[in-house]
Amino acid sequence: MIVLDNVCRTFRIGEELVKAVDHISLKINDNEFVAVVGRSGSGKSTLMNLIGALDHVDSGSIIVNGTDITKLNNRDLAEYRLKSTGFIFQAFHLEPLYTVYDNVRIALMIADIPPRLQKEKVINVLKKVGLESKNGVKVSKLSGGERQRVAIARAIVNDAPIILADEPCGNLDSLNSGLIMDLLKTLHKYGKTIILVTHNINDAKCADRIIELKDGRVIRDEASDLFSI
Amino acid sequence: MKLQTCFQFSLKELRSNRLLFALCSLLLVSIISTGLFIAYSDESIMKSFYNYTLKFNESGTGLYIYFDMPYEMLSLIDDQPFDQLYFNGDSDYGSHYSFKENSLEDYEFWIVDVNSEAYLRMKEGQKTEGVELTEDNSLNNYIWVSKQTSESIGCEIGDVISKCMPNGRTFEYEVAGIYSDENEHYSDFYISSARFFYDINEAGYTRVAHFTAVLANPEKYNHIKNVLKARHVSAWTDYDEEFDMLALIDVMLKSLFVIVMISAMFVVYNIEKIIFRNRLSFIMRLKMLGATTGNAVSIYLIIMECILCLSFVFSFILSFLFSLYVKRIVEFVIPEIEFVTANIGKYVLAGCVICTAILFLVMHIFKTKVDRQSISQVLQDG
Ligand SMILES: Nc1ncnc2c1ncn2[C@@H]1O[C@H](COP(=O)(O)OP(=O)(O)O)[C@@H](O)[C@H]1O
Ligand SMILES: [Mg+2]
Repeated sequence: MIVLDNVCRTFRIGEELVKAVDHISLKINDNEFVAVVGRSGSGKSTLMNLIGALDHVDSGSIIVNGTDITKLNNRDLAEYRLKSTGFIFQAFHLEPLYTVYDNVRIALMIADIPPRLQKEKVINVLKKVGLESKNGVKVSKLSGGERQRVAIARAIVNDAPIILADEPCGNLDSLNSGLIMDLLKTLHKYGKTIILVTHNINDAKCADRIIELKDGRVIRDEASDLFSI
Repeated sequence: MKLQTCFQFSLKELRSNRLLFALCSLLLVSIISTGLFIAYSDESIMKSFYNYTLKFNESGTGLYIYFDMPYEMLSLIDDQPFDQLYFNGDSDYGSHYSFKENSLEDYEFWIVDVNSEAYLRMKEGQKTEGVELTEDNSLNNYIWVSKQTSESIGCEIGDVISKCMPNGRTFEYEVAGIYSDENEHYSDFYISSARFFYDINEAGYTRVAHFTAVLANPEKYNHIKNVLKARHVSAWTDYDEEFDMLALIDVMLKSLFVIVMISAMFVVYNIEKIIFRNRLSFIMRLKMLGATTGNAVSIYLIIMECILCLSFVFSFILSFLFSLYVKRIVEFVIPEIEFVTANIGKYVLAGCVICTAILFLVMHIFKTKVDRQSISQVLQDG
């Protein structure tokens, strides 16, 4: 379970202070599929980054399975990112000069998985995302949809229970978006907690629950079948 | 992350950023080989020259250093690392000897110490009529004449030889013995040094003696010269001009070397900065996937250390090849010189250690900096 309690994050842009996340308190259950929506600049990405420990809070606490991650030291934070979360970004954040295989393997190398197990794990996960035939191709040669599937493979290869997807379909056409959404649904079915940031209301409707942000505050939080624009 | 994994990442990084690391290696090699070349040349030139100063001494045991100073001040040079010290006797202070108004200018006078080796050698095979020089009579105003001389000037035991110092003081010596010498250690007259110096003192002169010191290691000469100079003793050798010239070259090369060393530190520092700037987003992506900053930074530490060591090896070879030309130039300028190739292993070692220390320092600074930065911000900025 993920519990956010009065989480705040403020950025300084020039002279101005921007409250990107403003006293947000939330509870997200295990194996919940949550969509986060809101206008651009409403604080969705910031919220994701805080939950994934890619950024630090100014105040408040984020408790993940009983551990307050805002109080962890750098080493434990790394461990948390490694074991608990898988990130998927709109901009992929892959290594363009590495092959598909190596991009996924990086995550296993960091986890110190023995080399003889790495190959099997990578091939397995590439099969899941439908890219086993491309494993020797450099990422720079792939299409956007394929890249995002590599990113998903990398995010799930270490079997993290929480998947954080920040507009994963933002750069993709509807066909590829559909593929990615199907993958996320499958992951949800296999027991992952999924937090998805999206602009697309249809994608958001795939989730169990939709949270709408405005100016860093939660303005709506309800089951997806009740949610209407 | 295990060390082995770090190595794998290092290899991957090397492969996918060849240009970046090639540039770094090039920078390192150029600065390091410049430094090593200067060190090589400097030490080789100096060593060869020092060797050269030994070559033309009959004994070949060391560099001969000459200096004059009052005999009583011998303690002034006690602390100097001379390997041998010869006392070359005193100046004659311009004294004039005469016998019965006749000048003895053409005759040779020896000042001997009753215990000195020179005297004992002279006494071998010597027969003396009259009194021998002994410890007990060494302060008496005695003089000894060789048989030949006594016959040619017509003097006998009991006669008086007088000596006039430049300041007009006159001393008289009584002929105490006449000796015949079968050896080559031949002299016309000799006087006990104890008596001689007593008279010198009486006449108001300070004894100034000529010394020849032998220095097995000529590298110390310039330093010794300066130390003695501070004590108002001026020393010289047969190679002083060359020493001065070499000291100039030495200072020039050493200053250059220092400049190069400082630049090398800057180069190492900046290379690391360039690498980190370039690879910061990669490092942050690794962190996003669960690597610690230490893990990520070690990847580059390994790469840099390897590049550094290889650069040192390569520079070592390069500077060695260049130094062969220095050898040719030096041998062309001084054909009789025997070129001594310096051992610059210590520079290579010291350089490696210093550069590695800087490497670690910069890595540490960078690690602290990365730890403070937010991952999301760097990823967002690309
Ligand atoms: N690293 C940052 N530095 C400065 N301001 C930031 C930073 N990240 C986000 N912001 C600001 O915080 C607000 C929320 O941003 P973000 O969370 O990216 O919104 P969203 O993802 O909903 O578009 C925006 O006004 C944005 O300008
Ligand atoms: Mg965003």
